[in-house]
Amino acid sequence: MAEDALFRARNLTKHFKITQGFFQKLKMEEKQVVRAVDGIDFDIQWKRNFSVVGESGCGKTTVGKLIMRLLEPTDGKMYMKDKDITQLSSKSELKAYRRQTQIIYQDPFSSLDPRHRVRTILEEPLQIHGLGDSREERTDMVMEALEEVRLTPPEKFLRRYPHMLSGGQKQRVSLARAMILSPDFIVADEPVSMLDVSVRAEVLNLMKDLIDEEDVTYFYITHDISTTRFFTDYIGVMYLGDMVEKGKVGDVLDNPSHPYTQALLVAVPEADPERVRGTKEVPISGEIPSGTNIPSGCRFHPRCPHAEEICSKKEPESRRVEKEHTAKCHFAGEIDFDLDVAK
Amino acid sequence: MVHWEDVKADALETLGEFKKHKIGLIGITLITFMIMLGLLAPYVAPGVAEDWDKGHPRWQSNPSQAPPVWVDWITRDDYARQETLQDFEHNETGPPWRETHTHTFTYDMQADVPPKEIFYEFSGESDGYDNRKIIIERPDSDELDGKDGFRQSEGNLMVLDEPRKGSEGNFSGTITTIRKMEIRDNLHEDISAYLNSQVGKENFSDPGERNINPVKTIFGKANEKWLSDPEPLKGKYNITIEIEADNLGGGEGLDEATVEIGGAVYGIFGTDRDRRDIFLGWIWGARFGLYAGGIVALTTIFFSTSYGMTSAYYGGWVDELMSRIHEIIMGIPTLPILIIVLEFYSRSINMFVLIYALLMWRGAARVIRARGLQVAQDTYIEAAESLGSGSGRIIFRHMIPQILPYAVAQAALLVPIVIMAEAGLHILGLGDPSIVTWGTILTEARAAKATMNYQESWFWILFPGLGMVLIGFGFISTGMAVERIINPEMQQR
Repeated sequence: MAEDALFRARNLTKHFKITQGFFQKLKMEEKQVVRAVDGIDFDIQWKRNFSVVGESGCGKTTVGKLIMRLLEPTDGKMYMKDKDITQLSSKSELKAYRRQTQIIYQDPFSSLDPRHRVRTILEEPLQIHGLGDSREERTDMVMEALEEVRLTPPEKFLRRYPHMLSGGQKQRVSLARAMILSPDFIVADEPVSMLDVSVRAEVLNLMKDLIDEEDVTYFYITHDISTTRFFTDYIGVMYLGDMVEKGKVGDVLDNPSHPYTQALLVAVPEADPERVRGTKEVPISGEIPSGTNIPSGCRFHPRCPHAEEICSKKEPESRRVEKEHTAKCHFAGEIDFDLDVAK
Repeated sequence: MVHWEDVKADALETLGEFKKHKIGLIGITLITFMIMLGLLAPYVAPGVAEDWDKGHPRWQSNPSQAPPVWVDWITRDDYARQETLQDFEHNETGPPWRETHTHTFTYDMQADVPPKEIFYEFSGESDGYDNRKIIIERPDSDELDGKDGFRQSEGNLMVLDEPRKGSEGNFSGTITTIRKMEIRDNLHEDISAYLNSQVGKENFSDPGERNINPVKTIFGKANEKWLSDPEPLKGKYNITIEIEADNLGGGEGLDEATVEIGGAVYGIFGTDRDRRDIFLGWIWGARFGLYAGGIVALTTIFFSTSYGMTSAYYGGWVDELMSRIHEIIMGIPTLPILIIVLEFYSRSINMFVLIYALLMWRGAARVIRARGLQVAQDTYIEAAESLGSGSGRIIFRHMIPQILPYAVAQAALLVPIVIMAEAGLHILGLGDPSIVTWGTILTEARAAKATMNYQESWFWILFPGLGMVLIGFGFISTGMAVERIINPEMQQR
C-alpha cells in the first residue's frame, strides 16, 4: 500500500436488489441480488492513471459511479487523500469532494443538457461552487476552459447548443466542464468509445496533455484494452464484479497471469500489416454469467480453459506475480500460458 | 442564479426564432390581437357586459339584424347608413293656449338598400293635453296626390299616427320619449286600394296580407311589388313631427328633437334581432373567454408540473402514492360536477373557472410525470449531480425546462376547450347571465333560429363561431411553434 496514494478503495462492494412485483412480495420470495461490484481493492497514485478493463456488465461503470458517490456502496471504504469519502458527514463535504472529483461520460450526446448553451453548461459548475465574482469573470474562465480543450476561438462556441456540435466537440465540452473546477481526479467512463475512430486519438491525446497541464489523475474505464498502454500507468482487469488482475500496464499486458486477461488480449485486433493473422481463436467460450448467480469458487472457472477441480471449490487468493502485479488465480505464475497470443 | 442578460438574450433570440415559424407568428399575432381587444373592452365598449339585456335602452336606436357595415364596401349595392338627423325646420301655428308645433327633418335617401328603421325622439313639457303625429312626405307625394285610395284630407302625405301616451290630465313636467315606429292600420288598405286601381287586382298580392314591413313600404316604389318586395324609392323625404299641446315649454316647443335613421348596415359585425351591436358583445366575449381559458391554462401548467414533477423526481413510494391518488382524482366526472355546482350554487364565470382550474390539470399531470421519469434518467441529470448540484437546481434548471413545453402545449390546447365548454354551458342554460360571452351570443342566435335564416342573420352566428376558431388556431399554432423553439433539437430540419 503506497503512502502517497491519491485514492484508495478497500473491499468496495455494491449489490443491487432486484425490484420485485407486488405478488412476488406477497409470496415472500427471497430478494435477488446483483453483485455488481464484489469487494475490490485498488490504489491510485498521484498522476499515475489507472485503467479498468473488462467486458460489458462486469461492473466497471458501477465502480466509476461509486467513486463519484452517485451510488451508495453496500460495503467497503474509499479514501481520497486519506479522507474517508464513504463517511462524509454533511452535504457541503460531499460538495467539496465533488469539486475534486469529476466524471466524463461515455455518451456525449446525452451528457450535456440539450437546452443549455455551451456557456451555460460550463458556467454551471462555477456557479455551484461559487467561483468567479461576476458574470464577466466567469465568462473569462469559461473561455479559458474552452481554449484548454482546444475549442478555438472560444467565442464561436459560447452561444452554441450541444446539438450544434460534433461528437468530438461535445466530448471536449464535457472535458472542459470536468476541468473547469481544476479537479485532482477524473473518472473517464469510456470517454471515446462513442466517438468516430478519427477523433478518438485527438481526444485521448488532449486528455493526456491535460495530465501535466492541469495536474490531474484519471480513472480510465474502457473495454478497449489497446488504448490503456498509451494512456495509463496501472491497469485493473475486472470480471463479474471482481478485479481479477492488476498491476503496471506493461507487466499485465506483457505477462498476463490470469486466463481472463489472456483471453482479452487475444481478442484485440492488431493493426500490423505484417502480422495479419485473420480471426483469432479466443480461448474462452460462453457468455459472462449473470451477476445474480456468481459461480462458486473461482468466478471464472466455467469459462476457463485451464480449470481444475480446486477452481470450482475454493475462491482464489490474490497472488503476487511480480512487484505490484497480482492475479486472483490458483495457478497464477505457475501455468505456462500460451504467451504467444499476447505478444 | 438566472441572469437578466441571459433572459434578455434568450427572449430576443426566441423572438427572432418566431420569425422563422410563419404559422407560429400568425398564431402569436392572433392571440396578441385577441388579448389586446379583450383588454381594451372596457374602453371600447364600456358597460356592455352589464347592458346586454334584451330591450336595454342602450340598443334602442340600432337597426334590428343589420349586416356589418363592410358589406356595403364589398357588394355593388349601396347600403343606407345609420344617420342622426338633427337639423329641423320649426313652425308654430294656432293660439298660444293651443299651439301646434311642427318639426320637419329632411332625409335624402340615395341608397339601393333603404334604411331598416326610423326612430324619433322628442321630449318637452306641456300643461296637459298633447296630441302627436308623424307625417312622412315621400319624393313621389305629388304623383300620389288625389289618386284613388289615398285620403284627400291628408293631402298627398303618408300619415302615421302615434298612439298617445300619458295624455290624460296633467301633462306638465313629463318627458315623453317615443321610439317605436308603428304603421297605421288602414295604411295597408290605402296602399292596396291605390295599387288595385293602378295595376289591377289580379297582379297584386293578397290585400289581407298583414305581414308588411312599414319602413320598407315607406322607402319603396309605388308599384306592384310595393308590399311584397319593394324597390327603393330614391329622393328627399320630409319627416315631420307634429305636436298639438297646451303651453309647450321651451323656445322652440321641444327641448330635444332628433330623428335617427337606422342603417341597412350597422357596426363591424352587425346587430342581432334585439338591436345589440354584435361586435361590442364579441369583444367582451373575447375578454371573458381569454380570462377563463387563460386562468385555467396557467393553473394547469402550475398544478400539472408540480404534481407530475414531484411524483417523477422523488419516485419510489411517493410516486406510487401520488399515482394512486391521481387515479382517484381522474375518476371525478367534470360535467356532472359542473352542472350541479352551477345549477345549485352559483352561475358566476368565476365558479366555472374555479371548477375547471381544479379539474383540468389531471390529464396533463400524467403526461408531465411520464416525461419527468424519462428526463430523470438522462445522463445530464446525473452529470449535474456529480458537479454538486442540489435537487432544487436539478429540478428547476435541468428538468423543468425539458418538461415545460409539454405543459405549455397541453395548456394551450385547453384554452379553446375551456371557451367551447363555456359556450356549451350557455346552451344548457347554465352560463353566467350577468355577462356576455360568445356562448351568450350563439345561444341567443340559436334561440332566434338564426341558423335557419342564415341569409339574413349569418353575421350573428359567424363571428362568435369565428372567434372560437381563431382562438383555437392561434393557441395551437403558437403551442407548436413554442415547442419547436424551446426544444432546439426540433429546429433542425
